[in-house]
Amino acid sequence: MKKLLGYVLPLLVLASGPARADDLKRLIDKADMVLRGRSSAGVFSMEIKTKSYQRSFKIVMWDDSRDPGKERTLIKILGPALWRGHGTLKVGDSLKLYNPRTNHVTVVSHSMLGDAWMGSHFTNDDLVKETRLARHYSLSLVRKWAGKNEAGQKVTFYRVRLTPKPTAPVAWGKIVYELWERGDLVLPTKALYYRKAGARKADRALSFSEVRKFGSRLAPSVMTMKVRKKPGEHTKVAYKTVKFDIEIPKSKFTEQALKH
Amino acid sequence: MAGTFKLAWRNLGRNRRRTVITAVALAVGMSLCVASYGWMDGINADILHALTRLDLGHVQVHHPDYPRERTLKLTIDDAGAIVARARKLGGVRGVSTRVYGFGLASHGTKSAGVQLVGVDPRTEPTVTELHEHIVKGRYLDGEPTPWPEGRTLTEDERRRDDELTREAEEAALAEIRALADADGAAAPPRSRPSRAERPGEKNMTSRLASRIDPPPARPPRVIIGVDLARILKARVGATIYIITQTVDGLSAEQRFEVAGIFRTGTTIYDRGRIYLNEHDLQRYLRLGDRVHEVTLLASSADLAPRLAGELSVFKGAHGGVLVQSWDQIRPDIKSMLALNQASMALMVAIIFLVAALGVVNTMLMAVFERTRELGMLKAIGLSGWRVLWLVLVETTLLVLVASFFGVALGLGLDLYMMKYGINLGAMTRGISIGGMGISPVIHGAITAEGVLVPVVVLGVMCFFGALYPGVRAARMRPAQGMREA
Repeated sequence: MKKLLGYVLPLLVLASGPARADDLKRLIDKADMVLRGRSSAGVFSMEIKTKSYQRSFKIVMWDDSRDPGKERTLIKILGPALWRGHGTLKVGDSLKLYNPRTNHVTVVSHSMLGDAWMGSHFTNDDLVKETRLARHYSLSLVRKWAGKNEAGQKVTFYRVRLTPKPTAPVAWGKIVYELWERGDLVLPTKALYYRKAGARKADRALSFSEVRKFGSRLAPSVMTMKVRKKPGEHTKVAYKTVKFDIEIPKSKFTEQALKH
Repeated sequence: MAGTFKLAWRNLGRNRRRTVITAVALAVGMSLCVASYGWMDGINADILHALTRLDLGHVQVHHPDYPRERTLKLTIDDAGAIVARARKLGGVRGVSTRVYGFGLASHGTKSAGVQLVGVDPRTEPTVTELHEHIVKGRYLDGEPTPWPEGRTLTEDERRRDDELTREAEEAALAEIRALADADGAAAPPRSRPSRAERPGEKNMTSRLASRIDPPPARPPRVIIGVDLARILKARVGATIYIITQTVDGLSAEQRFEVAGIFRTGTTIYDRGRIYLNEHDLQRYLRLGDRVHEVTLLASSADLAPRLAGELSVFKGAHGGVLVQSWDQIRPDIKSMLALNQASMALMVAIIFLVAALGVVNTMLMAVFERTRELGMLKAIGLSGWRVLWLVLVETTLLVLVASFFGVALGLGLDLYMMKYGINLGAMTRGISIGGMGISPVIHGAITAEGVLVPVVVLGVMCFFGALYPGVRAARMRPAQGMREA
């Protein structure tokens, strides 16, 4: 009997291991893409609250991820006056900022992806979504439990630990991601970012809330970023509209469109 | 007593060749030691100079957390009072204030992360020699760039602004809706330009923005390092753009004009620093009249700890500031200088140990040679102590004469190095020590220590070296000595 178990157990582990990893990859991919789709366009507001100032932007964002390795994002600030017309354009590896007041386009180096975007608690990287979670991190399940979502429906929660792959160009030592699954639907609830893999407290926390229907798709409409070192401060992004999987002309992601 | 000196002096002259050879050996050793000391002191002075006269000064004042965190908002509250106080201290040669920021500078398609350093062009030259390192163009203007302060929008203007935002938002929504409806249709719909995008309204936006944050009258002038100029491909007169984050978290971009290019030899400055007028940087970063640093230059680096102490006493009255002398800010450089000096002393000791053995030999020979004579002297009543004294005086005279010529020769070498320097440029392209670039032409320096240490060390060693022959001569029994041929 013992001998038999000795043969069978490793087989069982081998069989379940890859299946579970694939499963986690699918879950993370779905959650990561929920506000992005293969392509999307949306209008949102961004509220920044810090100790020294409070500010609110209206922003339009165009995103096209159908070309792997050449993802395109264009962000334009619609108001208020001091920032109206400011733009951020990312095509593949290049990131450009446009300032209408100086009428100048700055090419941003890769090392600045981790810098704050427009004084918010989001980084350039967050905004242009340079990093793909499922591609740059290896995944392991921390916990899986049954619970209720915001709407009170019974769902299955997952807490997944993401550790960067050795060659991944990422700033985080560890990410803990929480999401729930209900039938076909996978939605994120929380992402905790740790600068060091061994750290006990997260350096920043992004929470997703207020699930709404955008077209035929359900997605959280509010994202709130908090940074541990800056207690009492936050940046809140609230989507007004998002359209998914629409055909965006390539001309939208040119320097001309950035300056327009 | 005078007799002993006369006798000793004459004894030295008895075997001239040997005396001269020994004296020359001692003198050459001495001159090399003095010259090496001068060389090392020169390098040390260059290091200290590069550290204090390019950037640091001798004493610096900061917000207590600034040196660790280097964030914009950690400014000194009452810099004016600190500056006034520092100017009154004895031994202070110059006092200046500085403002620091970080930004991304770009020119054409080139960009580089830079440290922005705001200096007062009138007082900065009393502390650092930046103005002497301009290789092209010119130094900063004394006068700040005219740059009006902004104001908040009136109720009316704010309504107008909100309206423009709403219109821009509607236009964006319409554009998205049109694309979604077309959904893969052959011709992508052309969006109707919103009112905010039309030329007239763009002017409105820029008018409103200029009320809140007016631009300067002309691009403020900056000076940049040679390496940065090469990276950005920017020449004197070029317009460069800098993006920074202001103290209230605004992302702010500004146009600047390159007025001059400097070369300090220190890579981190030459490739990573942009200097501009302190007031311009304060206005750009929205710091008001606050500064990050007060730096002062003393007439000598040695005064730094005392001056720092005197300023620290004062700090209590002006709410937490941190006063540090250069050696507290850069303890690594301080210990490197101490290490250089210690290794120099060790080298002197080794050279002179060899020289002292030569002296022992010479004196021993001199004593053996004069066995008969010394026996005679003792026989006619010279005491053992007097014989020992005689040998020691002989040695001392020898060392004094050798030291005189040795020091003279060494100082001559020092003077040559001071005047012409020794160019290591052929061996190396610029020398960097502890992150600071020093000139490849090493100039010697003459210090009291550099002369006294070799003289004293040689004197002490030779004194002990002469004890053995001296004691031997003193203990000789007169009859035995006189019998020897």
